[in-house]
Amino acid sequence: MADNPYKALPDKAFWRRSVTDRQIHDVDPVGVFDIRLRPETKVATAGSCFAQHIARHLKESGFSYYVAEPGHPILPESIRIKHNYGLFSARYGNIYTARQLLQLFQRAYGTLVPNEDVWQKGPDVFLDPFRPSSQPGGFISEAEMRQDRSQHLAAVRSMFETLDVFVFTLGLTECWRSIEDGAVFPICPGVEGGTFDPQRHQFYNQIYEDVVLDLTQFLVNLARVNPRAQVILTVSPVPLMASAERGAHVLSATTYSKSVLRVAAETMRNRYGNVHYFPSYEIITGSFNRGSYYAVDLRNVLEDGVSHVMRLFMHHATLGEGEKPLAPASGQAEAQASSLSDDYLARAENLVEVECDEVALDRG
Amino acid sequence: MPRALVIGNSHTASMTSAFRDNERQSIDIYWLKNKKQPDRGNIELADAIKLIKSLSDDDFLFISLIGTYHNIMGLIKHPIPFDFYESPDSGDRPRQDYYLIPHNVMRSEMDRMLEGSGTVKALAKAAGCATYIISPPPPKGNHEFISTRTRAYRGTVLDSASINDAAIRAKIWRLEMNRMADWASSNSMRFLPVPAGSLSGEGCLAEEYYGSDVTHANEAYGALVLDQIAAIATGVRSRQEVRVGG
Repeated sequence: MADNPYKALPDKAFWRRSVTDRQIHDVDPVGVFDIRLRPETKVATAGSCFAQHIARHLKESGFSYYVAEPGHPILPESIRIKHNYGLFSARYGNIYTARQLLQLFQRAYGTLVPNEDVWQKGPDVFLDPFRPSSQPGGFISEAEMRQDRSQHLAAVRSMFETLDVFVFTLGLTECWRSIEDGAVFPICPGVEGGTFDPQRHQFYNQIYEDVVLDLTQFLVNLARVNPRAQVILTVSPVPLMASAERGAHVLSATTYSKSVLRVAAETMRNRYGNVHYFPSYEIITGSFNRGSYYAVDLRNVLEDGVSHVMRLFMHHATLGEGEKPLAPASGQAEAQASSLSDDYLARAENLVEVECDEVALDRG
Repeated sequence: MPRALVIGNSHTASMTSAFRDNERQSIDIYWLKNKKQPDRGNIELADAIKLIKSLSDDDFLFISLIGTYHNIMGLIKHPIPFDFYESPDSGDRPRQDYYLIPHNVMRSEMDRMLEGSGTVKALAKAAGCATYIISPPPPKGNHEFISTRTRAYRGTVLDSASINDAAIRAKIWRLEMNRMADWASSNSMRFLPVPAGSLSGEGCLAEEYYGSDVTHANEAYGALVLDQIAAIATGVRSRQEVRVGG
């Protein structure tokens, strides 16, 4: 038989050997992922809802999950957690889009000063439009919000300047922005705070070029303040809660969004040596698991799926060094797939609660 | 004539001292024993509950056991000094060189502490009468007094530099009292605020009411609290007399 380029390829290059013939928990779709974490490596996280899972597992894994804004140490951890300190490496809440990430950096370093920079939700309730859910109950005055934001952005600067690895989970391409200056909000004004005004607010669905340009600008900026920084990109497997694209079906809109983000991530990995891609998206959405990593709403990711992602992440990122077993919850996924009549609450026990602004879109 | 039963901690000492000089025969004051300081106090929890159960519906229970978290949290200047906004309209401006803890975070922390007040809940649950939570005295603003009277507080050596800003200490105290009042109300209790006239201009304890140590008030302050208690008991008695007479 004639030789050909496929002959020398490893099993993972072949669908039957690496997908069809594998048990669900044995499927490992990691391609090139040559970053190595050590226990002392300072790993910071940001991104959409799914990034919260990564942050949580890093915290539990014994690795150095870097939190630059942990809240004041006089407060017990339970109170700090309640107020979203440590949810991500700084209290910026969910960052869904590449544009949001870029603008976070720009706001932190004063190169972007948005005009619409405070939302009032009630007589004594003020929100930061760029992280409206971060402070439960809001801030009691505009002055308090501004002072806390100043402190927050100082922590963001510190984080960017001192992190070793930045894990960013790309979530969405759809966003709402200020017509006046292009500032992007994490959620549509009027949903969690602020007032929607079609004269001031505009829907925008990023295209591939936007995402690549935003990520590139972010990388350039990051390199200026931290030349050693490595970046791991992932794509959130969590579908859109709602799409504002004209005439779009949310499923098709999700496919568009995730496709753009996935291609942009691959583009960045190919272009820049300090950018890596980890296939969280493929692990959760891959047909090999027959949808079993999703909760009954077909949107939220079950702990079993998160564990699969993080087990592989820690395995590949550490080469076993300091690796803690993140054993799959045996049989959970299969049981769910075969028994759709299971009690909803019993299944919900497996669903890891994550704070997600998008949920507000689906209320009433 | 209604009885007033006071169950508390070390802050009852100022009331006990004042009581000796006042003939308020219907007020009983007890210092609840606790496991951490077995040599202090004069009543066990079980006995206190028995006493409370002996009160009639027209009597009064006063509890002076909580509200001292402001000292734990704020007396010593933290290595990372912190400040906070007290209220939306107070016009205060927290120190810009201190770490800002958002008001709602501080509030949550106070509420967490109050929710852990199991002893108070147990005492209140035993009572069939009106129950008041007594405000502890406000912090002392005179740093020199604090540092000369006590060399250490909860294991930390005190000098003027290690004592937190008086204005911040007073703010923490006011927030704690504010949360205590709400907590008391939500647990079917009432809140007895600090006696009128006992505050200094900066919102701390007026110096004439200083006890001899870092946190406690003196006999004169205790007398003011007893006056408050007596006024409450008298007020109810008067209303009862009117009602009965009618």
